[in-house]
Amino acid sequence: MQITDEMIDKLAHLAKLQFNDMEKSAIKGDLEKMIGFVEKLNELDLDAVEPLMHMSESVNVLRDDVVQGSISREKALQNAPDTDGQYFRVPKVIRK
Amino acid sequence: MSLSPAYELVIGLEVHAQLLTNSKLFCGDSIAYGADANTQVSPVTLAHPGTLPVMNRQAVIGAIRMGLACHAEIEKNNYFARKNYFYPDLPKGYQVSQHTTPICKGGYVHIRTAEGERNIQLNRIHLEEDAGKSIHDIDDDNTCIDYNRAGTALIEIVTEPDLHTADEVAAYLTELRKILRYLDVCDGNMEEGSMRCDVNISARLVGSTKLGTKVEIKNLNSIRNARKAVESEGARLIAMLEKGETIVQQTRGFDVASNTTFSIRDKEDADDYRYFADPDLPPFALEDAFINDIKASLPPLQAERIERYKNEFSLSDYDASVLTEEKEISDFYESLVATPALNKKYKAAANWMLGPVKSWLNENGQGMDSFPLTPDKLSAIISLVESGQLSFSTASTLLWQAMLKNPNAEPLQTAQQLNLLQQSGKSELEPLIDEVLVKFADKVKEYRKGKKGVLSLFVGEVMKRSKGKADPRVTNELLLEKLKEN
Amino acid sequence: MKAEGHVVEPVNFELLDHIVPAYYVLTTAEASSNLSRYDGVKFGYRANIGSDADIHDLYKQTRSEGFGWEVKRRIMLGTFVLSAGYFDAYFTRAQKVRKLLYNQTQLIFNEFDYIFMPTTPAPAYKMGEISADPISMYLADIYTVMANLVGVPAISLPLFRHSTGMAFGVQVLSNRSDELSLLRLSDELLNR
Repeated sequence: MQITDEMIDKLAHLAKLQFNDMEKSAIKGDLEKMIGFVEKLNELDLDAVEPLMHMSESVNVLRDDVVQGSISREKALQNAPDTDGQYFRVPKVIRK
Repeated sequence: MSLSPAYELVIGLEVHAQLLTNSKLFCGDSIAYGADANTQVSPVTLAHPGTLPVMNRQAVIGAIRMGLACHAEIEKNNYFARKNYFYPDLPKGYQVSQHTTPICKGGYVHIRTAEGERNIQLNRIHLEEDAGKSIHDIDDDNTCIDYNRAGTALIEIVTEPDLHTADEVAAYLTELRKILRYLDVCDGNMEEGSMRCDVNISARLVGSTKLGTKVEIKNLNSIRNARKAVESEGARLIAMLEKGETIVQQTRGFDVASNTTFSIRDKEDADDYRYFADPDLPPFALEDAFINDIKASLPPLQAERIERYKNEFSLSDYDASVLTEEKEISDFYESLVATPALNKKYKAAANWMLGPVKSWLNENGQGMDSFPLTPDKLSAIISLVESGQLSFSTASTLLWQAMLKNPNAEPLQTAQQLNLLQQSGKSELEPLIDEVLVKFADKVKEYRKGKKGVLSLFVGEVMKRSKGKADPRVTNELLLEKLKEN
Repeated sequence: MKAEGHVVEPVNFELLDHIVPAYYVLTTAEASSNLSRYDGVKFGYRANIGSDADIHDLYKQTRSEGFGWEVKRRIMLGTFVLSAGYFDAYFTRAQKVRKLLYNQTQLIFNEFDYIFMPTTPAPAYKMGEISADPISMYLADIYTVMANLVGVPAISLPLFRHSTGMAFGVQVLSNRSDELSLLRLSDELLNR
């Protein structure tokens, strides 16, 4: 499958990654190889096969509606790259 | 606002309702409103590596309750999907939602408008988790994030593009909120954001079957604003079509100050959310017995209560409808009529609820849960009136004020202390009646000549002299007797 | 083992060549989503961004500086296989292949208690030797990813030495929930 620069840009945008020109041609080459490799799956006739979506055989793993497990704000913010002691902070987001 | 009759609006609504659970959808953090920022968070909510979600049974039950009440089909085989996008208030970088298998499919909500009654068709009700809050106005340079709300269980109730007017939108939202409250599924508090509404709206020529380009208006936080947003955006879209302009697919917001909508962003490149089954959450399968148990536990909704009030309590359609408009008021009324002191005076109880009680709620801008009197106290007040010990006007003014100030007092004692009890004894009333008949001797003559209307003047004068304590019925009877005698 | 009375027979596993492609579609898809939480907001690395940078700059710089190349290309592949227009052709297809692999493995476990296979196709290669080519690296996983794909326990036992002197293991798989007997067998094999 042919990978275009536009596709790389779109995927990078979705994945929130950025590539300079050199990296972009490298990732394009890698992605082409990787996609070519996984296209081996196209050999199989899978029309009658149901996809296996969940690995665990357990169903209905439900818990009771009980309040527990919260941590203190101090602990919650302990690993934050930027905080004012109350909130996690990020650069101003223009309202969605 | 009148719109050009050549065009019609086609409207679909997406309502997010926070479920009245104790804890979040996938972890045990409390969801209580109003807590300090970032104090109701766990490592699961904060998306710390290695944490895994476990689903809250109560949330599933809440969604099914709403589905059953809306006549929807309940999906037996459910799983959660991830909706992938980056936003600071979305801790995992994806929202867990039901993309392919909504837990409730189809169904409808019955509404009444001036145009008549109809069913608004639902597309689906699905479970999902809420995002945190991005706060843009407390810090000049930064957006501040509070994750308390992140992970709260929501249902999203999505209609078909089946509404056509602002009236229908308001009626639908009112009805939906009523059902949510009756079911105890959501408190329906739009100000606190526990019920939020997005409107999808397009316009087309009447008779056309093709949908026009739609515009989405996000985050309407009251029924009033939803109505106004539809009115204003509907007019804008139709004016554009009339001028031959092209409508762009957009996400818009509603500005309360100017009553107009404004563009937030164009939807030119549709978002690619890359939905896929969440591998961290096992699927859940609902059995008939589980669904039937929930069905059996559903409380009667408004329509059923109206019928019961008409049949059991002989109330008018109007009284029954107004009493059941809010579940809390209806519940209070039922407690009230169940008190022995009330002695089945259903209509009197309804009058008190719709009169003094509702006035108090409106004047104080409060809900029924803040009303100071218990059903027992109100029942005691009503029985004082019904037994003729107190006039309605005295009971609903002087005694009412006194009881509201001191809700724990006994109504009878309070009435005695304030010297409000009526004088229905002949011995107390006769001297007053004689006094009045002497003073208004000319009117007595008129009465005898056939001008029976002056009787009410005599009653009024007696009442005045008794300082309102005379029982009007007894006074009336005594007067008639006296006037016959002479 | 035959001498001890065990029945040991070779079995043909037709889908061997499809294991690694299916595995890389499914795991990169999950990884692309799982790793979204590394955005420089709640914990972990945050790039040093300028004062006029916006939230997208924060995300992109943080993630581009924080993730290594292999992680980035896996995120890119995972994003691709989940994206609109490619989801069914890649992701759903791989889920179907996983179903076939699962069925085939269960057929074997209907008759046998354990599956023996190599842990790797070749002894360990030298550091940096072939890492420029992702495919040959991924193919080294051919035997180990099967257990992950079909959801059964597996153990690698360092029983042998290659002629080069490098350790060379054998891998044993058992059915789901048979971990205890798998560990017992391993203990026995290691102590003989």
